[in-house]
Amino acid sequence: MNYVLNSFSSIKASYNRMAQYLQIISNTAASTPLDVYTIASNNLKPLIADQGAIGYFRNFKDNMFETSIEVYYKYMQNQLDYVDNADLFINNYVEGQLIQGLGRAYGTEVYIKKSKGKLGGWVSYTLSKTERLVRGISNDDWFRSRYDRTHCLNTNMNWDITKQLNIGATFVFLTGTPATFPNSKIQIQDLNIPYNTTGVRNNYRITPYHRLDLGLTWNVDMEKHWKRKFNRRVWKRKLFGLDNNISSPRKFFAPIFKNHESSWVLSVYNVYNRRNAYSIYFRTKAGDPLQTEAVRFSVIGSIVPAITYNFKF
Amino acid sequence: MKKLAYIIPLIIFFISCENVVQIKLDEGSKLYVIDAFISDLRTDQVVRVTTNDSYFSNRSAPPVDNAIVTLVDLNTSASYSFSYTSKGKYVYSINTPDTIARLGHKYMLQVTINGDTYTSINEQNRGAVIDSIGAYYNDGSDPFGGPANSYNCLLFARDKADNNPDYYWLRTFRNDTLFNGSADINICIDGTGGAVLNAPTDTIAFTPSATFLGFKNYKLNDVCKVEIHSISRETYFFFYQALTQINNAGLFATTPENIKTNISTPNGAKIRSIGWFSMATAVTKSKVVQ
Repeated sequence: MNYVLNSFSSIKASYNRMAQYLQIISNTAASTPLDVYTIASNNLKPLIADQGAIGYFRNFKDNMFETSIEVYYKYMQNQLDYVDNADLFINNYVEGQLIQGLGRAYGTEVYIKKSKGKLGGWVSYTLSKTERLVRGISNDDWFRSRYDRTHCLNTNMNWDITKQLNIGATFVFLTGTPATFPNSKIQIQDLNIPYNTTGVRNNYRITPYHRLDLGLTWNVDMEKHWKRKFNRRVWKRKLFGLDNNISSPRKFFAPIFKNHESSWVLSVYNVYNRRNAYSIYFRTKAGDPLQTEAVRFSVIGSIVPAITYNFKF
Repeated sequence: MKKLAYIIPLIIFFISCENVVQIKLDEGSKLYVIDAFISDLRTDQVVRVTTNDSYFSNRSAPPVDNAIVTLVDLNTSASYSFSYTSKGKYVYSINTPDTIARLGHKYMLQVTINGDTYTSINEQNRGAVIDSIGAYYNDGSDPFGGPANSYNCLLFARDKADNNPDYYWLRTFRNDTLFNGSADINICIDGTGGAVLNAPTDTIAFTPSATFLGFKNYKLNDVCKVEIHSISRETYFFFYQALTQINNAGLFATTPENIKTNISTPNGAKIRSIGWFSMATAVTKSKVVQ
């Protein structure tokens, strides 16, 4: 539903009900390619989600700035979760490891975009909460979903320095993924066994995720490029006293580069070399059976520079 | 080679993904931890009562020294009292020709701390039979592994083959020192990888990896000793779950979960108790490596 207040502002509202017959089941600490999907069956009801959202949209300065603020609430029934100590992988009776409960997600989103001028970009911020209530898990109380992100900030900036040169930057900040950590350990038969005395699932969070990427794009003017190359060859031939009856290299390349568009991109992923945690796990220190330690597992935990050449043909 | 000298550190720089980090964890509420694995071996039987500790503590578990520990045979009503020694250990010394544990009997463990009695019940199951232990020299080329210039020890044992699976916990010693690391926990079903049903014979031989008495670099004249404890199905899965939680690491680590307990906390007790009580029929044999 869209209600236009005037030429620069409007209110939009939506409601939808969705039934989902395929759900992911995962008890890994972080998403992996081995996560298992299961379909609704005689034992598993399909997920039913009701979502409502309302937002106020307004443009400023002759549509130079587009802004919006939205709030949403989502209520889910038959949310699939796994029992404690579940064995989900290659299990013929996996449904016996699953239970269904309720889920809810709510929050607000703010969005600002500058779409005109040499300096452009957008900022999007979401403040939200995602929880589950499943009988038999986490003391039968609401607990954080693995997908809960309190703060989610995405920013993107583009600056056209010249017609050919452009600088882009992207910054992302996400609250750490909820995770279950032990708050104590017990010793049985000389084994150090982690134990969470609260019984609450997802009682901690891994460290926040943030990353800055930079990119420098140089759009090559092909016409100018061919001309410069041709003039250089003419000049060389003059120098050596040769005749100048040569054809432009454009004649040779033109059929390939029909659109005359190409660019060089110098980009740097994870500029400040942050080792964002993919997951955090706990172990007994090698060689010291009494000492336990936490280990951060990072996937691309370093700066990644790249040079790319793009062309259209 | 010069190029490699640059490329290899660069690759390591990009793929090194694990770092030990400092994490602040809240202190967990106090729990009593009962560690009671009792067998019919004619040695001191020990029940250890401790409390949980902060996860990053590097000390032995805090002991509980004021508990009253009793084992009751529910078939005969005989009662065995354990005496406190040190470090949370309560010991029953066998000084009669009889054993503390009898086949087919049910036992109740009672641990009373500050007026609250925590209990657990377990049953004594049939055991395995050890034929012998074999030792052979390994020059490093043994297909089963093990360090060079050492002796590997192999277990020859048999399991009763019928449609009732038996669950075993194998404990290995070198010169009376138990290999007690998490990698040394050796558990199996019917002496093999899984339950053996409809076997053509009365007994079946143990197979690898149950037969590997931990290739622990035995030297000449070392004593290799093994104990096979016939444990309950629940105890087998307790070990299985404990090992899963201890070795829960890496890319495919699962969400940590609390291990199960078979200790009951009485209603109204201020402090909950967790842990495990197991009765086992055990057989043992040792061999001097020659």
